[in-house]
Amino acid sequence: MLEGKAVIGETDMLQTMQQDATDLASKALDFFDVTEAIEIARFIKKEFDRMHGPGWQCM
Amino acid sequence: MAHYPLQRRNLAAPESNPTTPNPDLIQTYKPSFLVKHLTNLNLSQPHKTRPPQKHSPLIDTHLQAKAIQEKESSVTVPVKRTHKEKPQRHCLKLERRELGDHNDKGMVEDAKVVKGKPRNPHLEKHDVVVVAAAERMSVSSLAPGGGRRRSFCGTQANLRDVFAINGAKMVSVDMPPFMQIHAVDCARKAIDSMEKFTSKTLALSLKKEFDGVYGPAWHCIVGTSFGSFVTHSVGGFLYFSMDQKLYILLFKTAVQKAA
Repeated sequence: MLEGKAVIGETDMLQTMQQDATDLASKALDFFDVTEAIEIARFIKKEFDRMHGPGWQCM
Repeated sequence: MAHYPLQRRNLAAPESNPTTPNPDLIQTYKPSFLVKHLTNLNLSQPHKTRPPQKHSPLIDTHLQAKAIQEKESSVTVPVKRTHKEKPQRHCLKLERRELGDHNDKGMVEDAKVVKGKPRNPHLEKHDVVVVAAAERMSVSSLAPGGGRRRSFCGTQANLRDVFAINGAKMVSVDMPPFMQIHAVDCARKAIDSMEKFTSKTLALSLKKEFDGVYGPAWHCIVGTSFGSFVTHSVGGFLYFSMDQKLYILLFKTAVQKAA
């Protein structure tokens, strides 16, 4: 697991979903390099679609 | 004097002269005109006459030749047409010529002849003119400028010109051409009108414009370096760059009404 704390800028989301987002982001950074932005976004989007229903976007 | 006929008779006998050809072989291998003369000689039976033999292959060959000649003659004989058919064809040509005078270029009407009924050329001219006018109206209504329709290649060239003038370059597109032009024009106007440029204000102006014109829900991301993975509606995705440094992602998502 990547060490460091995620800083949340703006949010309109349940606390549990925020936690899922930060956990998935750290997991994606373990799987992929920092420069592979598209792969990181793909991973987070697909996982959120699976966990919380379809229609999520990630940049 | 009596010796010569006897000698001639002995020479003509088949037993005394083994070199005499067989009459059966002569009949099978010789042509018909030779066979006729050889059968009249009566070599095997000198005092009896035989009826002439028939040769079926030759007869069949002659019959086939006659049949072929008859076929060829029947083919080469031209078919005569009655005087009633010529005026109808002539009238058809005249009617086509009359219709052709009233047609526009590139339009073809097929004149159909109904047998037994006289044709009224004035009514048909009127009908053809109405059809031509209707087609002209439909063509002009499809084109935005009122002129003739442009081909797809012309549209592509027009898009390239618009993008080159505004300094835009398409990266990934799933959007109709007129919406692409609208997005590029809106982005260029927003960039030029801002005193202090920020990515957030450009994204806001693009999103508001497209929401107002094409309905909700549009999303816009503007930045110099970002990655994305999004789900968009069909025909509602545009990713392009402005001035080779600013990248704009504009896409539409379906809105579900709350139950």
